[in-house]
Amino acid sequence: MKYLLKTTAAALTLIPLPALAVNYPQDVDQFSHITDMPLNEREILLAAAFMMIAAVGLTSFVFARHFSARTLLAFIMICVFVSIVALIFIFSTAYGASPVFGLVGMAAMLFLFKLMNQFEIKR
Amino acid sequence: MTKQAAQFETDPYFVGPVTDFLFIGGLSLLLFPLLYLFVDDAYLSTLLIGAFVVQFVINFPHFSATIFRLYHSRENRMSFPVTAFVIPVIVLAMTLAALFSLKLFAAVFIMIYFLWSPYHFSGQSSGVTMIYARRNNYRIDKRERIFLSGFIFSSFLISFLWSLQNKYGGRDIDDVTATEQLFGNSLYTLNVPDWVLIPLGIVIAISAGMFFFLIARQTIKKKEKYPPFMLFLPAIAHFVWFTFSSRFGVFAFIALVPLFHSLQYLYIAWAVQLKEKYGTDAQQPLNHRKVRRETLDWYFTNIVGGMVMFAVLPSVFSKVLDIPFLVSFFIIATGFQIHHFFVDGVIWKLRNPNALAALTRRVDIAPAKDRS
Repeated sequence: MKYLLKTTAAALTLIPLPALAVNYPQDVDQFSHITDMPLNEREILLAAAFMMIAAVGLTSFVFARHFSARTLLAFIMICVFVSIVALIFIFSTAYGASPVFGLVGMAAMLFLFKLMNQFEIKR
Repeated sequence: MTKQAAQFETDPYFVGPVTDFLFIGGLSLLLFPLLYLFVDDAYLSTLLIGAFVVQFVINFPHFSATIFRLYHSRENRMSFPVTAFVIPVIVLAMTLAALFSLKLFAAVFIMIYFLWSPYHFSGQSSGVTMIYARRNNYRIDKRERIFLSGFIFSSFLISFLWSLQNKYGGRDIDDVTATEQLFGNSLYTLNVPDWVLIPLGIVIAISAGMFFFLIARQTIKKKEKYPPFMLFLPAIAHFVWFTFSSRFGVFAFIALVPLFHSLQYLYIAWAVQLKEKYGTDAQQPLNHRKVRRETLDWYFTNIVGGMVMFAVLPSVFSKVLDIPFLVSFFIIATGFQIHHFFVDGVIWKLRNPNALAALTRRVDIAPAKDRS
């Protein structure tokens, strides 16, 4: 167990190494560097998806006592729906690039539709 | 099973053999071969524009009919509160995102619709077959359902993949209208390998054979002469719709397939509406005048609803956001359709006994001269 913990800790220290290798310009401090990077259209859309997921999750958490199990499940499915649509959106440029990605994208969409067929009817 | 069958009194048709045949898919079976044989490409585009106009009296009202069914009574709304109140907010947010991000999100939004729409049509074809099986006291168990779904879903996937390979119906990009390009750009971004057609072809052939065999076996057991044709009609019509539309490209898919899908839908929704309104007393035929009034009220409400959804709102958004009407129309239409896919998944599960009875009993209308 101890060995496992040590190995895990050692592995974890290795993970951020590539990130540490990034060189920021020395004359710009970290704070102003982040604020100088405005969100692009894709990031704004993804942020909207995150906000939507958070809002649905929070609503189901706050009203959990008042909602039936079926309603709570429907809220979870909305989170899944928004997440998968966001993922389909992120990888949208890949579907045309490779037949494998195209097939995966199509399979993901068919899976999403099959799942949404069960929306608010599974008890 | 015999016991269960004895509990329900069923009728093989909603109204009668001819009407059911025409509305459930027969009309398309008559029309599509004629178009294929006698109409050339130049006439076809004119006809497709005509079919697009007909959407206002058939396709758009069918979306409105779904909304009407879910929202017209408090009981229905509260049976599926998340679908009734939360899904519209989510879909509205996605539609607005597409309207504000025409180059990025709109393409993905429309691409999702392009695949979801035929998937939804397939679900309906499968569901209608099951309704007719129940009406004719045929069993659709797990095995039958697997082969039925195998045939229906493969026929849409095969045609879908054909459309991807045979972009714009094989026509030169210069001959393609701006409207087709707008939709085509979203659809044709999917690059799916050609070999997928081979397993799908095998699935469709096996499924067709096995479904027919399983139904024929039941026919023999029942000592009937023929299996009921209505059990096969939705699947055959579905196959013809998709084969035809893949031959003529994306615009045929937008204009013709939804037309016949909606016709099928409106027919069943009309029967349910009448039964829900006037009850299910099998002994007492529905009063002709009442039926006419209710049908007209319901139908015109849905036409108006469809016009608001597909003409007024796109026009408003087009002016407010200063974007072309067609772009606004397609994005808002996609939003309404995605909402429809959610709503349609639940409204047939409503526990209204009259509505349930409408799916198995005949809409018996007294002749006009008998009215009192």
